[in-house]
Amino acid sequence: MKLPLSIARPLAVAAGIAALSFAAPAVAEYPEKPVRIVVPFGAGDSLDGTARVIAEQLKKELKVPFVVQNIPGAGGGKGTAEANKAKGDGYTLLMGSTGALTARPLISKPGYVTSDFVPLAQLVEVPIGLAVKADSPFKSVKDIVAAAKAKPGGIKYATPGPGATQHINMEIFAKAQGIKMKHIGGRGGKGAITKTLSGEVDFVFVGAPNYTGLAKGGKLRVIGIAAGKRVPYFPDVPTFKEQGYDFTVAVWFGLLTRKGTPAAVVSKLRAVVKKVATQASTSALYKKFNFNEAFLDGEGFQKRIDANVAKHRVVLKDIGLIK
Amino acid sequence: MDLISFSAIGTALGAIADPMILLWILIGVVVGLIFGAAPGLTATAGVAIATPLTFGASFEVAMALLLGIYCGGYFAGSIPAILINTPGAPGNAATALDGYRMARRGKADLALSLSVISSFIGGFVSILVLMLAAPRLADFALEFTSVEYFALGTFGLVCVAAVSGGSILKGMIAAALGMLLGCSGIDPVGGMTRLTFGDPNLLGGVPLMPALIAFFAVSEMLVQAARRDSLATLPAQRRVGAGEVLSHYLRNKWLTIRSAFIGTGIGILPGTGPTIAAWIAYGESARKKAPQAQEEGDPRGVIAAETANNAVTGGALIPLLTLGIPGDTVTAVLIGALLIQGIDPGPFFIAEKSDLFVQILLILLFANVCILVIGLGTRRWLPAILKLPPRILIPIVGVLCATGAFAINNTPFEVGLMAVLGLAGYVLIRFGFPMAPVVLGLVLGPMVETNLRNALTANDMDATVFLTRPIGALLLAAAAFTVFWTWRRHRRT
Repeated sequence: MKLPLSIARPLAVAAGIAALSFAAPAVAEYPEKPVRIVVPFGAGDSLDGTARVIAEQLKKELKVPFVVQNIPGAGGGKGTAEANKAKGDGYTLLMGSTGALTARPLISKPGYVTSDFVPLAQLVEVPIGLAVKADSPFKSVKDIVAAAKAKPGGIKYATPGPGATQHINMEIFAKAQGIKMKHIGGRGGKGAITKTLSGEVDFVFVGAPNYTGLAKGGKLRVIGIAAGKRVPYFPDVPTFKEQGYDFTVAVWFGLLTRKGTPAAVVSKLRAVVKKVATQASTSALYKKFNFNEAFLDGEGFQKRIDANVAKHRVVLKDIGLIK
Repeated sequence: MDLISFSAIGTALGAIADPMILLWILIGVVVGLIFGAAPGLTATAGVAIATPLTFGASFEVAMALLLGIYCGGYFAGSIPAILINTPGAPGNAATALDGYRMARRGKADLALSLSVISSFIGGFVSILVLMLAAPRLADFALEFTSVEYFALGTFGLVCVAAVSGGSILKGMIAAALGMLLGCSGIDPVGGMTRLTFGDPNLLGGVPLMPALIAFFAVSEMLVQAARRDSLATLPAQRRVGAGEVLSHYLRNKWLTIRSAFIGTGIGILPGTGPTIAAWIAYGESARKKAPQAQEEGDPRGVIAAETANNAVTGGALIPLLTLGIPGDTVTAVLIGALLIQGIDPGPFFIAEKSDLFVQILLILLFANVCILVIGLGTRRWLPAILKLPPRILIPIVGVLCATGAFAINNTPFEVGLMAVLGLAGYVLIRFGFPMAPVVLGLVLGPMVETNLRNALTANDMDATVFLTRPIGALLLAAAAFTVFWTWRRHRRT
């Protein structure tokens, strides 16, 4: 049987359209609905502020809302676990951070492993610095190392918490110097600083932007920054390297998506994130929060994550957090 | 006061007297009232959500909005606490204990009035303290090490566990259950996970807000649903006059002042907040409680809890503005807002930017006046909600509870947790266990545990440190005295 052309032609067109719409890969259309960015820290802090600004710019670029969802808890572990429940389709992104992503899965089973996420870009770094109370006898990192050598276990220090990047890295430092110190968790960076101000511990090792005001006001003395070069807000404080210790630590933050996200979506996201993360208005914001702009593309970020995991595994075993 | 010059006061007054700024404070207070009154949404959430909106605003506008939310939010949680036994925020849980009992006996108007005025008094006293003694008090707060925090937590725990109803044994069991719940999550000292049953949702521990909603609201609704007669016997709501309200304050002036200072003092201590302040002040008020007041709801409980709760605001700003260290969760969020304004809060802030400091004081003062006016203006019609029959009220509260639990992280886990804990709370109530100690254990347990272990680690496991540091020893002695006194009172009756 032959269809009259008058019917066949529209039918063919309709079929064509139908076929096209089915075949049209989600990729070409991504994003076609709002995208969620899980920030595994509390709303309102510097990191959340950064995430919200990035989200706003991504919305402008991709024309769909990017919604920030704060899920704090477990040093970032809880929100990371929540992001890992999502499908790998690029509609749930994670603002990942050093400790939660690279140390927590080694310590316990938090509901995700590092390889569950595909990096899009590293965004910022927070340099970590060592500070003592203003009336402390310690004037340099050398003083502290010497004191710890003289009395093993006699020096106490505070970080945001056990298993945090700051804690793990200070243990790396101690091991390299052949010293033993006591660690006390501060339940957050500000809590760790409080423990130093009250004299409960000898020094604090947390993100340097946390105590710019206290240092300027003469309550704390910053004696070493564990970064490659000096930071602009503490121009007079020498790095660990300048003091003869090859030791750099930074807490980094970056965007990731769940594994299984189609390659085309990943590359589209990487391109857009790169564009918004490196523009001048974003840099200005970082500066206000005393973040170091530290853009790394997807591959570079992946390498860094892998390197961190390898390093953390050794230390965590040393300090007894993994068997 | 020596830090603030008259010229600074003049400049600040000029900046704040702008009607637009006053409007922003009012908007902040109203937003805060909504966030505070809705269970699950807290002042912290309100300030956090509003902070990015202030990125482009001036200092006065940003502070007007955010501090307005702060003060409004801390107060408003008492409204649902009193009317439907659902604390709008953790700091208002202690208010629910007596406030809700009062509302069930026709005294909702009195309870609400007391809560509004107490909030104002607490806020006002804390502003005065902030203005007069901020730098010196911040130094005092730094005397607190793990030893003192442990002692403070122990003191708080003893206070309420001892006065929570008939059986001390049941109160202690309830507190222990709460502390057990508080152990869940990542061990804050060792870093290992505990009691999470392999569920990553529990990594951060049992979240306080869903637990509060469960133990107060859900279990109470289940109790009411199980009762056939219930609302038929509710007496009519009685209005109160200004004289009657005033007489409560005259009779309890020392309690009010003491609560204001407890709240301010605990606000100053970093890592604490309104929840702990309200409980400790409530515990103080309950020490002199007559047994029948336990059943009918004691106005003293509302006065103490709400005064202390709102006094935290000015207190918590002290370490923030003098050290850059937040005194509670809202001030932690405020750091970001200040950084955006180009202000890095620290020891030099009050001295160098005294006009901005005075602006903050004036904004706080005006925000508290707004609370007083709005609160007293609306208290008359709010109790109308109690006239709803249970078959309507209970489902409404149920939906409110579920949305509140969901709103915390926008994840369904908290809703499930709330349901499970609510059911558990109901079972406990049926067996005669009081709910207050469970919540208190959950709030103070982690504080006591972490600080006990940290204090011992820092001092080479030498327990005598708890006796050799004066503040810690004093607090522990007070705790011991409370236990002794409670034991004696129970032996006599």
